Amino acid sequence: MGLDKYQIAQRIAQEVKDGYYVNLGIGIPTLVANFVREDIDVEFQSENGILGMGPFPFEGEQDADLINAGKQTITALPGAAFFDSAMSFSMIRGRHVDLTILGAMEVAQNGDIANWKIPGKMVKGMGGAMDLVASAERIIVAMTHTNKAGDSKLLKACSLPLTGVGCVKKIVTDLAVLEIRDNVFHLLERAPGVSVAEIQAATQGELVVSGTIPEMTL
Amino acid sequence: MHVLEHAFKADFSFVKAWKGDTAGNLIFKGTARNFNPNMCGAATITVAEVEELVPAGTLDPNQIHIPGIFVQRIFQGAHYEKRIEQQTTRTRNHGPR
Repeated sequence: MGLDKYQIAQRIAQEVKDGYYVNLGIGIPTLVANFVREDIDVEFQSENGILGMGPFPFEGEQDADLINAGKQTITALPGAAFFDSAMSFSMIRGRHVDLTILGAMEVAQNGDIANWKIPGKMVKGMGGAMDLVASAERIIVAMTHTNKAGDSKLLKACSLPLTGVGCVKKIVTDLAVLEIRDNVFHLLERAPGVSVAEIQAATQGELVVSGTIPEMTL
Repeated sequence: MHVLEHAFKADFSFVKAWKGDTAGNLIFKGTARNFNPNMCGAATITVAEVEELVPAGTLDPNQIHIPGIFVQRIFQGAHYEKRIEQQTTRTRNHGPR
């Protein structure tokens, strides 16, 4: 069966550690904020210019001047700061952001990521993703294991235009938690009820399975 | 390896700020700061629209985001309709799930 998008976010939230500054991409990554333990201190950055981003506002409290990089209405927590784009990318390029969580259309076994453009399809641009993947110390990709056509998104080599080269270390999908090491995917955990064979079948790139693979705990 | 993109110069920058004074000093609000301060000074003529235009000397110099030297025209807009592209909210009892 595999995880739904909330469960993927829930599993990724376990990777967020006390004291981290975290940038969340659009989609499943945005949901991660809802599952981070309340006893740890984490600050969320959105590259359009806020550090200390809070949850979505209560109905009726939306502010047109307070949005995240995905244009969604947000709130600012006590201690938050606003800044312009140049400062935001100084933060990112200066490697002050500890963890970047983002979605992807393809990830290759050497850590390449493609997440911005399908040739022939109109997009507004890659946004902050290129800088984020090139600069973050830790990058976690949140995505489904296969696309809507059923094709694997974990590949030997990306076919789409790249966002970043050799930068992805960890991937959490609806089926598994994987790590990229020595130019191959390593299977770390299975989603509850999902077999190693199912993960193997959904992975086009080289997948190393060593020992017994535990089920992830949510 | 590096990529150097040379800055390009525009004839006009159009920016929107929250408050401004008659000397052209600007204060932005929330995440609406974004690219606005960076575009001031990127053009020969920066035109700033503000929600509230006050006499020079009224704003606290400590709070100014963009000094007036980067702003050549300023005016107070009217009939603001603040549209939101993606309304995302949570309910009071449970999370966004």
